[in-house]
Amino acid sequence: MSRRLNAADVGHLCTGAMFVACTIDHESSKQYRDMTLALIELQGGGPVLAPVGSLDPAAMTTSIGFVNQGLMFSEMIPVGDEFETAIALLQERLGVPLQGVFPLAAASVNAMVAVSVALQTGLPLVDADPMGRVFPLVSQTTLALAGLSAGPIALTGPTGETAVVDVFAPARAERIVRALASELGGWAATASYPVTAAQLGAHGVVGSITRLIEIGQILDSSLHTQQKYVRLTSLLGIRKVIRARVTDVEGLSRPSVPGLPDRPSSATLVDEAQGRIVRLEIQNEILMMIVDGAIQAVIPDVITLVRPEDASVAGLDDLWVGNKLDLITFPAAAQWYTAAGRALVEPMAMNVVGPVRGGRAR
Amino acid sequence: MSAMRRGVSMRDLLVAHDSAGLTGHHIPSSAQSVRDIALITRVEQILEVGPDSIVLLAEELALGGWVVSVALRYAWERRAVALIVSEQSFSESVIELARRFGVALFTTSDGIDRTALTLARELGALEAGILSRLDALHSRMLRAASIPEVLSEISQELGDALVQLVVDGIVLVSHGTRPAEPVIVRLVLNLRDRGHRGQEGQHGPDLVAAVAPVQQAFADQALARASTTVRALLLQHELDDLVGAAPLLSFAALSGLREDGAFDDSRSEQPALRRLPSGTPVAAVVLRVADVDQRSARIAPVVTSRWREAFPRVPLARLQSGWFALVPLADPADELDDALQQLADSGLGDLGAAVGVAHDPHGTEQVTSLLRRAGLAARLAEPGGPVLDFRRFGLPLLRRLLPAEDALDLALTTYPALLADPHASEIIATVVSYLDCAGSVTAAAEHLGVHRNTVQLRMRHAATLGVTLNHPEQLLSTHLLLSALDLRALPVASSPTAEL
Repeated sequence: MSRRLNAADVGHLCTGAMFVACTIDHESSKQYRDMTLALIELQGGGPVLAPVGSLDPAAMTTSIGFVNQGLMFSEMIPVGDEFETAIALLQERLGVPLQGVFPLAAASVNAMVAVSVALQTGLPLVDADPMGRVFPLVSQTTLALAGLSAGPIALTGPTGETAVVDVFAPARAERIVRALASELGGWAATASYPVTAAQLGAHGVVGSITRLIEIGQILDSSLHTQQKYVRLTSLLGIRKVIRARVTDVEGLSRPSVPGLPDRPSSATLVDEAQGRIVRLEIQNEILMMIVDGAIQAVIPDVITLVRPEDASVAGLDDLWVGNKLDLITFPAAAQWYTAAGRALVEPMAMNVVGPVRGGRAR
Repeated sequence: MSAMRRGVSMRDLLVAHDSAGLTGHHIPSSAQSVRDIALITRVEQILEVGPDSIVLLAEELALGGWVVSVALRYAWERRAVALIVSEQSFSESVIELARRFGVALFTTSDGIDRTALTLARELGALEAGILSRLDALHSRMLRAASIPEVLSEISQELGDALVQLVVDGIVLVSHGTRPAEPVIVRLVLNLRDRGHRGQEGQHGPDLVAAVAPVQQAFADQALARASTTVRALLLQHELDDLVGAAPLLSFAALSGLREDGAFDDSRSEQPALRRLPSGTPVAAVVLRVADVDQRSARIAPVVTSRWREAFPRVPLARLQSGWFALVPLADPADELDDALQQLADSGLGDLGAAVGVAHDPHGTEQVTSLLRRAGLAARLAEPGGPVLDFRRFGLPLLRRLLPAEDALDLALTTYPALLADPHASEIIATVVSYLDCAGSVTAAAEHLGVHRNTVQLRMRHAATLGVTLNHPEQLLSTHLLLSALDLRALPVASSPTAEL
């Protein structure tokens, strides 16, 4: 059943969005949360959260998300109408009205942007997304896995310039949109992956908005840290929690892979309980967690950081030497563990990871 | 199929040779051998690396500390000994990982490809050197005529390290000295069918070397090279024993003594089997192993070796449950007894072997009878106990029938007053001696080394304590009972000496 989100839901959603995407800066997410809360107060109500099944199967929907290239949107703040412009352009190109929006990634700032846009446009926020977490490339979606088109894509830059790209192949769309984002001023507000509700229900990660709200409800509660972990384990299937102290941070651990938008780095931590050496490999997000040289988690697994004292969400900027953090890993959406799913997201790490091993030789 | 590489010391290869431009960031203190060099261009290729390899990560791969961390883990899983990467700085955590995994970590300033080639060349050269040493050692061992000579050659090659041939925990041959903090290298020699493992817990003789850790790999190979020669020499000794004992034929044929220990009187006498001239004093010796299973086969090298040391020219013949020999009594009989006792005390008792002997001082006895007596004596003898002479068969037989503890019990019931007497032991010794000497006070006094009046006094005292010798029908049982007593276990007179 569709329901209208209230201010508390938006707060929990923001917490959940930050938890599943351990990025360098959560300020953008908080900024969009505050904008949305202000709008809710102004309008006297929040956006409608609509399960995929509640929409007409033929209803056209689109993903909403920022694509950046070299510039954080916190450094050139959006005016506020960029996504409305992009949606209007997309509707014009499609020739049919859009009847719902969903986040390009149900994580980090893009999860919050979708809420804000739904509130601004009055369109329902569809309870699904095409990533179930965040990946760095526009092409890394479950909709792309299903062979659906990423385009046409409508973009609006920070200066109000717009573009509509007729492109089918998601990989090609990633290159063109990334290049346009650079030309438009460092980022672009995009409306992409126009799909019907039926297609989104069949190939998207369904219920991802609700799950973020549930994560936020747990983390924002007054429960003890360990109790929160117990609840999260039940909800997410958490595989490992390691409490460790940061001992080293390296700026450049490996060469940057062409086509990826960020610089790689590494952090080394020492496990508080058993003295194990934990190494985090970072590029946009935490790609891999290595414990005593053994790979414990690697994308598409979600690896995130939490502050031990209250289980509040930490970011990459909390990786300073001496700081103590809880490292948490849990599996991503099932689609990413298929052969095609792994092939789409793993190349950035798998060229050095190797297959699963069977323990020490006898 | 590839031939098994011999392996060289990692220290010799990586630390002693600076031609590869190597810098050691962690070098384990324990000795490790290297069998192969593996150049890896993808991390998962480490999964194909064999144990005792040195792993080199290609330059395009090892560009991050995390790759080195993962490679160290893979190397540990594959039991590789060292990881070499191109020149770079490591965080302490990476070196700590190498330390935890016990995998040596090096960087090279010469380039990975060049280093791999250099190390492969050095490995080949060192292997050739080791093979050359082993070949020379092998040649010397092949010329050795005895096991001590073989062990001496190995020991000298290992810098006078301790090398031993051990059978069932008994050191048969030993050479060299044990170095400080040695590594023990052990090789089991299987003298029989190599495919037959025998019963669980049983094994053949062991070649053991205690060497300095750096010599472990070489010692391992040296022992392997020596195994054939030592095995051949052991079998040759066994064959010599068989050939020497052939004229005696089998113990069973001669004596009719079956393997289950029973006598078979249906066997016909074969006097022609006696190889010694009639009239030659001779003693039959039987070494019997308590449990008949496969034990005698396993301890054969020890028994035959000890026998050969004691009686170099007397062949020892094999029986499933032991060994026997006919020893000419050229020497006084007591010297033979001493030699046999030394033999019994040289570790045979620990192996469960008991020794029995039967003398024929005039060379007139049938060999069959003589061997049967020795066999019976060996059956009554205790492993680790004295050599049992058939002539002194009585008391051991009695002690088998009536153990000292039971005899004491019986005597306490029959002769309570005697046992309570503080002088019981000397009175009993006197009575036994008197009965041994067929009632002769004079002979008993001479045997005991006391005056005959003393014997008479003690005999009267014995009578007052209930030991009466007036009833002939009781004499035998009294004699047997008192003989079976262990006089050391009796109460003694309360005197300063007795209390000692």
